[in-house]
Amino acid sequence: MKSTDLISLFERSLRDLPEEQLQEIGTVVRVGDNICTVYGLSNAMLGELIDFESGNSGIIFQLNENSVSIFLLDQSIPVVELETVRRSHAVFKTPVGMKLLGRVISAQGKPLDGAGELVIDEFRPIETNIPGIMERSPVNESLETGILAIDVLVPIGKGQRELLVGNRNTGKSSIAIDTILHQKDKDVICIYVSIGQRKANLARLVSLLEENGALEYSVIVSADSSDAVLSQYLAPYVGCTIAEYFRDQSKDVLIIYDDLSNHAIAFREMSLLLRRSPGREAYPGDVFYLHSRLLERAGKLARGGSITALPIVQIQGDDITAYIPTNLISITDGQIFLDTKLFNQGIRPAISAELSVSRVGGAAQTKAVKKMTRALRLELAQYQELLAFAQFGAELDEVSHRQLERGRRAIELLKQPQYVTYSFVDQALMLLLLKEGFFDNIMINQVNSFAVQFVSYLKSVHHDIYMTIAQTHDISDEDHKKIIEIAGEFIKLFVPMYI
Amino acid sequence: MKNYVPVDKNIAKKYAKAFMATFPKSCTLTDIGKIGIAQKFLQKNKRTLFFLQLPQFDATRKDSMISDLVGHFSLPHVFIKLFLLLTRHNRSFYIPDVLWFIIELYKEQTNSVDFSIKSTHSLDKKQIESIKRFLGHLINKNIIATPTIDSSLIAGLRLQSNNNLWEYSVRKQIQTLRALK
Repeated sequence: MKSTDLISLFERSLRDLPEEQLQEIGTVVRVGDNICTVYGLSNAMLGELIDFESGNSGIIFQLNENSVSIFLLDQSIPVVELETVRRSHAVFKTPVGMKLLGRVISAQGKPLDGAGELVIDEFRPIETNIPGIMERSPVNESLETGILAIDVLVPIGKGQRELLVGNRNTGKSSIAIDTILHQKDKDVICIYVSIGQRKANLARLVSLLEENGALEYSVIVSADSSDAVLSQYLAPYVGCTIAEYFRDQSKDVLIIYDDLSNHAIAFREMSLLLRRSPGREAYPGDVFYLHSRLLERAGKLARGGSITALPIVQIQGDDITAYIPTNLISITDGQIFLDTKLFNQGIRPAISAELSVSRVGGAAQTKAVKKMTRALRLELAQYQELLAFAQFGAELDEVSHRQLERGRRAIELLKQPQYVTYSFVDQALMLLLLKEGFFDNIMINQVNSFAVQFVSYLKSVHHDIYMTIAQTHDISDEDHKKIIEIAGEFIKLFVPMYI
Repeated sequence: MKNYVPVDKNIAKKYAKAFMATFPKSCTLTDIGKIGIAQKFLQKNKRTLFFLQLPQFDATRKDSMISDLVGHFSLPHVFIKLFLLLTRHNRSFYIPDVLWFIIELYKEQTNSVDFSIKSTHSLDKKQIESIKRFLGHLINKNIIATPTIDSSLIAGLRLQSNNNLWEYSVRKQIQTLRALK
């Protein structure tokens, strides 16, 4: 073929080809710190996905008078000055689908688990409309965590947002992981979003979930500390979009954001690079909106399906008055405060009963547990009151002394080893033992063992009572009496063995 | 080599806007071509402008240097006033950027857009006119075409402005195939 033939071919192409061949482009004029300034793209939208000639892509975060500022999605593909970029006319989307269960993916929707390509149903934009008030239903169904202290003191309902707040190494992630493990066979899909964590932590989590058969109902979205700051910013929204997909299939979803302090730090980094005015603690003015628009996407829908969010936030020196924690406390429906002092005293999970609160979960608590909860709250309140006197060495009367001892036993009962979770029936039975004073004659270090063995005894020997509670979600007066009788028998068998 | 793009140089833009507002009909399309040549030269040889900042030269010498500069590139005489103003404000180093913005503002006012037409073989006038009509129909603007030869296209055409790209080439097809892998 001659060159003139080629030219005539293209002339014909000029006539035949549709107009969509014309692409809107821009030119990279400055690049550095994962952000680039692009001249051109005069019609581009905020949040639009932009394709680079080199194969990289990015998202528009700022529209300036003559240019746009784009954050790059991939650090490994170099972007050069004067490179041409193209508009994609689409916003950033993430893959969703039922077959994402059991997979570990990056914030960009790429598989990280080496289990082959993702099987997806569709791509969804990560920023969507938040369900309105008419679409929502009140939180009235319990989401068991399997952790006695939480289910009793700060119950969580399906559709609730409960913040886990505490210093580093106080067991925040452990509570989240225990909650995931407890959802086995409960038809709850779990999504764990890891933001700015170490890769080793993620590997440990994946193998733990796999060993316990929890990975099959979970999706892990990871943007670790080595990933681009944009990935860390996107990860929670990606996780939430996947959660929304499952919610739209009328599924109950639990989503854990571990942790939003790193997310806020990533956003701060981006804002400072974009030269936005720094505010308190150098965070930009819209850092509240960053988290409120994310957490508002959780909730229970009237048509079925719910998203329960457990965001985690790390604090320094037990100071919950820092900027991000206070923001998150005001956004969420309650918080679980993990106290370093309690943790060091060996009270684990180190949940501070005074500072923890659940604003809506009470309505969702199972009847059986709710009945028994009052006893525990009372024991703890009286214990804290008397403890102050006891510390001054004041002599206490016999009643006060008994109350103090019972309080100690209540605290002991709330201790729970990691990866061991209790069903609501187990919890109700344990609380019944406390309420009826069965722990009074048990040594403190045997309280947990007694409670667990009693539950196991009742479950195996008096299976009918156990099943009735499980089915009715309540303990009838008749069953209550029977359980007291059984506990009376059991204590005779148990006590001599442990003295 | 791709063109220099001054971004976030608002001072230069302000001077350009003021110039265009004061002398609205001072430039023709031919002048714009000359301004483009001057802009590229001064951008590349910033040393030329350095002399305009030296205090050793008095105002008369600087005036004569500016007149020579404007005369050399055959720019309209009003540009002497602009360059003098920038020199008096100690902003002579902004001259290339101001010229760049003047070109952009002119294009905006006349609804024109610069397109580089890259092809593997030289195109005759008729073909360029046909491409200009094609582009004009697509974006509803007057096209200022700059044809160049680019053998890296292998075969085909690449029409590019600051905001738009139309490419139909073998190189692009290969890139698309590579991306599919």
